[in-house]
Amino acid sequence: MRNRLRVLRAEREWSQADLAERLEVSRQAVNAVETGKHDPSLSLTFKIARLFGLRIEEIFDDEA
Amino acid sequence: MFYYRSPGADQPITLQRARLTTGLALVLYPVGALLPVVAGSITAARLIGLCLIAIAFACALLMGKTTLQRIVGEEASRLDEYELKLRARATSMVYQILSALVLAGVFYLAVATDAGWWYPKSYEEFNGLFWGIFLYCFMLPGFILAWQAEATDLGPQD
Repeated sequence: MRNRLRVLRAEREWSQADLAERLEVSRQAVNAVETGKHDPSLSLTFKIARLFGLRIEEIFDDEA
Repeated sequence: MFYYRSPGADQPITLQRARLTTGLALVLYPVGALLPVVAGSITAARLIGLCLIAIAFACALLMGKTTLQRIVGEEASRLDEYELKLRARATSMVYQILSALVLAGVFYLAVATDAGWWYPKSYEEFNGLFWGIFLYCFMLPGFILAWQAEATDLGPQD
């Protein structure tokens, strides 16, 4: 699943570790989601959307 | 699963180092344990065997504090969903390998008793077998994960 996580993170000048801390997951998990290696769970997806103040479909694209 | 927790734990490790360290432990222990059996309990063979076993356990100690060992050994509640996914993938493979090893071991014992081959009889030999199984249970998940994971899963990256 494609996503805009890396772009959104860069806009806020957050490192992967910064984002990981905010989401309460490991830095490896953030990297895996960003690179599309791991599709986040529903709860993590909501957490990401809430953190960036966006709707889920504005961040994730399941048609890729 | 086992994980040695301390303030300095969760150390990043490169994939190459993780593969080498876990692989060395898994290869050196059986070689060290079986050397006196093959060489006929010669003192030199016993000493070399002991050295190899010591190196194998040193490798296990080195891995004890790493991110890789944390993923395979930590309490599930302390891991996030991606780490749990990595662990599940590794342990699924470990289950298959350990099952195959147990089957092969039982088959060997069944044949060895009839064919007159060596099989463990003394306390010392069973002790060696016990610590070998202990080491394999500790290191095999890490070894599999080291081959399944990518560099970004174990070390710092931004």
